[in-house]
Amino acid sequence: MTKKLLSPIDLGKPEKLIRGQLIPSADSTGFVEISSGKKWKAGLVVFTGRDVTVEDICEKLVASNKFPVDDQTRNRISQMLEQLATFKIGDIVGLGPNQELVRLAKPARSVSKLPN
Amino acid sequence: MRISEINIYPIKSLKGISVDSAVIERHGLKYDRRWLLLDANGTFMTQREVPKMATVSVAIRENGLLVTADGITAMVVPFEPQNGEEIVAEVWGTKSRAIAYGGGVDAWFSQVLGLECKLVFMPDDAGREINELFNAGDDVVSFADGYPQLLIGEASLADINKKLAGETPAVRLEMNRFRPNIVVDTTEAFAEDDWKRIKIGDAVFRSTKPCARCVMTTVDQAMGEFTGKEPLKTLSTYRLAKDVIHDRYGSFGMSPNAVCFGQNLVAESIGSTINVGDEVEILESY
Repeated sequence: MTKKLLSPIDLGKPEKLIRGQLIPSADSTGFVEISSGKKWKAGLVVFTGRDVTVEDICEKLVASNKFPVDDQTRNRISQMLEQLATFKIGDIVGLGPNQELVRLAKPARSVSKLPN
Repeated sequence: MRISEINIYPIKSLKGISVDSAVIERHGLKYDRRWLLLDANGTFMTQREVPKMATVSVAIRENGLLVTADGITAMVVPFEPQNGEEIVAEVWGTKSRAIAYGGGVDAWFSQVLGLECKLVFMPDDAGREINELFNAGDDVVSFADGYPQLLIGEASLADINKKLAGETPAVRLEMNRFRPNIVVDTTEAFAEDDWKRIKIGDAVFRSTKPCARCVMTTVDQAMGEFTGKEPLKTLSTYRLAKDVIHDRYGSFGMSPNAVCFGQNLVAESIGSTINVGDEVEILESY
């Protein structure tokens, strides 16, 4: 179980958040936003404040009527949620050839570390 | 032992508010550091670079935050921005979704602080992840430096003040120099170093690690100015991590020369309320 999801992110403007929710595309070339169907190369790991399930996302897919909600889709979502639990909020991720989430390089603007 | 003070700091690095009770939320105490000022580059602002921030007061009102500063009309900032731009805000390398205010709100703070800045808000469904060494799963924090709550014992402050009394000129610090959320009426200095799990009223907290102190403790909170090297200079003579938690600073990921003062906490009782006067019970010690 995770409380994290993927939001679209423009790698040229990583400080700007774009509304939406991503799932891996069926062809493993990136992500698709579930309401618009728009393709994205990268996603930002965001905190949702509540547990996210495969069913939650499938309900939105059904509502958007843009994708078939079949077993393959469910599997992709399930795999994504499982992997998201291991990523940090704020990580920028892409999609590997086997539907695996891959951490992309952090943007340059990262201010030092917490004093410890 | 009992709680003698509860403090919240709604806008990071601005003046804090003492309250009689506080609701424990996932991010920290309710209203604590859910707002943050960013500079023109989008970098988070603190008293480390802008000590004047200490002089800007914040009060909780029914319709928002009342912010006041010398020489300018007070302003009420709505709790949440309406239709604000959504951005990614970063504090010490960890990020959260945030919503920007823009317009007159930003203009007010820019005028008060003398540099371009913008105010952002962290909504309930956002948060920054805490250090993985202490994260039980999905523990998040507001825009506080690293952990949801900071606790300090009164006896610890008395101890540093006793040492500083011998300085020339003598220095006496108020508790607000260390910006704790929870102050306990301890009788033994630095007893909190050894607390692993505590109960306050009905609420259970686990400690993470002692708070490593920075140059912000040298800012006079009333004047909003750096006032020399104390208390860091004196604390560094007897409060280094390698001395006070020599058996565990490494496993905490702390520098051996970190200056320790106060204990960082994570609440396990989200939704509970703590009150001034609540009894503090040590459930587990190191």
